[in-house]
Amino acid sequence: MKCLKTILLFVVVLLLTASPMGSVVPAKVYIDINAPGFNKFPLAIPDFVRLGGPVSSDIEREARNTFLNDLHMAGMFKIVDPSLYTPNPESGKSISRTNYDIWRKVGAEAVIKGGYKISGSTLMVEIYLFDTVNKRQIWGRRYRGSRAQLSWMIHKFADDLMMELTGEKGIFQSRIAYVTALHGKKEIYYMDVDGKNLFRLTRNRVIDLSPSWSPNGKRIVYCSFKQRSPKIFSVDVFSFSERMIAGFEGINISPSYSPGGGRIAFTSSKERNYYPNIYTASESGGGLKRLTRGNSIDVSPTFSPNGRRIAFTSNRGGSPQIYIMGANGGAIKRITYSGGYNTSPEWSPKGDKIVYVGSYRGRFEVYVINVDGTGNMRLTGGRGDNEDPSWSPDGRLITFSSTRNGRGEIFWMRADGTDQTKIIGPVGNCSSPAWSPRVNFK
Amino acid sequence: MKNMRKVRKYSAYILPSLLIVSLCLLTISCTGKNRKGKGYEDIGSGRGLEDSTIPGEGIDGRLYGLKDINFDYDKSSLSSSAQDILKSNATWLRTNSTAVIEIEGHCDERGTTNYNLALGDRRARSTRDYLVSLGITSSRLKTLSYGEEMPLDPGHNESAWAKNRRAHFTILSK
Repeated sequence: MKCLKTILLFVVVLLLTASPMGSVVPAKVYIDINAPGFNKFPLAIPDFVRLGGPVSSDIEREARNTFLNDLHMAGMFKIVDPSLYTPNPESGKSISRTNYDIWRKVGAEAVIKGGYKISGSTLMVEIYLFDTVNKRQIWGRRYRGSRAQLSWMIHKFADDLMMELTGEKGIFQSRIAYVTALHGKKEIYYMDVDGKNLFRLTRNRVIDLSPSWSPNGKRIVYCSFKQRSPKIFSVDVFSFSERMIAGFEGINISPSYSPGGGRIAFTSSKERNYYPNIYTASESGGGLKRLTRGNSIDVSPTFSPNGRRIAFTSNRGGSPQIYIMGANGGAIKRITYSGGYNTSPEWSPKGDKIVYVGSYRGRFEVYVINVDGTGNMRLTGGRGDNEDPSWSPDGRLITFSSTRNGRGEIFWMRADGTDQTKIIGPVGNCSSPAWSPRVNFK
Repeated sequence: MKNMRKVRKYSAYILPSLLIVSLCLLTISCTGKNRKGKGYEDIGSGRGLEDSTIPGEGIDGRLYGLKDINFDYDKSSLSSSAQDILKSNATWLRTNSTAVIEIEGHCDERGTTNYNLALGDRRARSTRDYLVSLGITSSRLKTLSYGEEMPLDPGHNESAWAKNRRAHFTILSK
C-alpha cells in the first residue's frame, strides 16, 4: 500500500514537472526552500564538452566558474566534489543523454551537462538538466551569441534552473548599479551580479550619486551636481536619453521609483524656508506632491512592494531613525528605537522587512528589521563601514558597500548576513550599490 | 687629451645641473614673491585666484576674510564661536554691500551620503538664517550642500572630521 502511494506520488511529480514551462505555475517539486530541516540539493556539473569547432579551455573554465558562482549565490545547492567526475566520464558522448548510474553513485540528484561550439565569431552553447533520481532529462536549452555573452547564457540557464527546482525564477539576469570615481569624479556604473560587464552610465564629470532602478530595469534615477546644485535625473540605461525629475532650489536627492514605476519619491528642500522633506513626482517630473512637513530632515524614501507605504529616514525625534508612512503621506510611525543613527532604509521585495544602516560602536553596519519594528538584527560587523544595503529581486540576497579592505567595495550577502562575498570586478572607491529588478539579457 | 675627454664627460652633467640650479632659484624667487604678496593673492602663474576655486564658480571667501564655521556631529545649530565668526562675516557683507555670496554646507564622511546632503543643506540654511537675522538681505545669500562629497581634510579621524563639518563661503559677485 505504501509502495503504491510512493509510485502514485512519483507519477504526479512527473506529470507536474513535465508540463511546459510558463503555462502553469510549477510546483516546488525538488527543493522546498522553506521546509524545515532543508538540506542543500546535491548537483553535479561535469566540464563543458566541445560540440564541434575548436577546443577552448577558456570557455570551459568560464562556463564552470560562472555556474559555480551562480549556484553559490543561489545558496541551496551543494556541488558534488568535481574530482569524483573529472575527467568527464561522459566526454565524447551525446550531452542530451546521460548514464544516470554514474551520477547516482557520486551522490548527485541532478546533473547539468553542457557543451559549446565556436564557429567564427559566434558561440553556440547547449545545456541539459537531468533528474538522476527519476532518471529523466528535465529540459535542455540552446543559446547562440558572441563569445562575450557566455556568462549571460549561463545566467539564463541558472534562472530557469531555479524556476524549475524552486518554483521561483533566479536573479542572475539582474544588474547592480553603483557609484565610483574611476576617473576622478563620482559617476554611475552598473555591472552583472558576478561583477562582469562593467558599464559606465554617466559622464557628467561632476558628482553623481544614489542610483536607483525603475521597476522594469530600463531606467536609473540618480542625483547629479551637473547643474551645480544636486538635482534628480532619470536616464534610460540603453538609449541614455535623460530627463530631469526634480531641479528645485535647494537640494533634490535620494530618488526612488514606486513599484508601478509611475511615481518617483525623493527629498527636496524646495522652498527657501523648507526643510529637506519628502515629495513624489510623476515619471515625467510633473504632478509634484509633498508628503512630509516640519522642521526635520526626511530623506531616503523607499516604497513597500505593494506601493501603499513608504519607509524613510527622519531626524524628527532628535536623531536619524527609520519611519514608515502612507504613500500619500500621513500615518507616520517610527520603527527603529535602538542606536542613535539609523539611515538608508530599503523595503524588501517580499514586503515584510526593511534593511538599513545603523551605527554600532563607532562604525556603520547593515541591519534588518521587520516592518512592525520587531526582530531587529545586525547583519555585518568587524572592520570598516558597511553601508547602502539593497535587496536582490527575490529578497534572498543583499548587496552593500564595505570599506573592510580600505577602499569602498561592493559585496553581497544572504538575507541573514551569512556568506559575505566581495563582487570581483568594480574598482575605484565604490559605494551606493542598487540591485535592479529581474531583466532579460538579450 | 685625457683632460679634454674628462671635460666632455663632465659637461654632460654640467648642463643639467645648471638647469636644476636655475629652476631652484626660480622657485625660490617665486615663493619669495608669494610671501611678499597679500596672503594667498599671488599663488599660481595663471589668471590668479579665480582659477583655483573648485568646484563652484565663486571665489574662496577665506581670501577676503570670510571665515568658515564648524559644527558638531549631526548638528546644524550654531555654536557661540560660530556666531562670532558670522558676525564678522556680516560686517564684511555690510562693507561690500553689493556682494552676493554662496554658503556651502559640508559634513564629515561618517554616516549616509543622502542624510549628509540634507544635513549640509540644513547647515548652509541655518548659517544663512543667522546672517539674515543680522540684517543681511537674503537675496545676497545663496545656499548649496555638498554633504560629505568635498572634505577639506581627507583624513579618517576626529580632527579631520571636525574640520570637515563646516559652512564655507564663496563670493559669487562683488
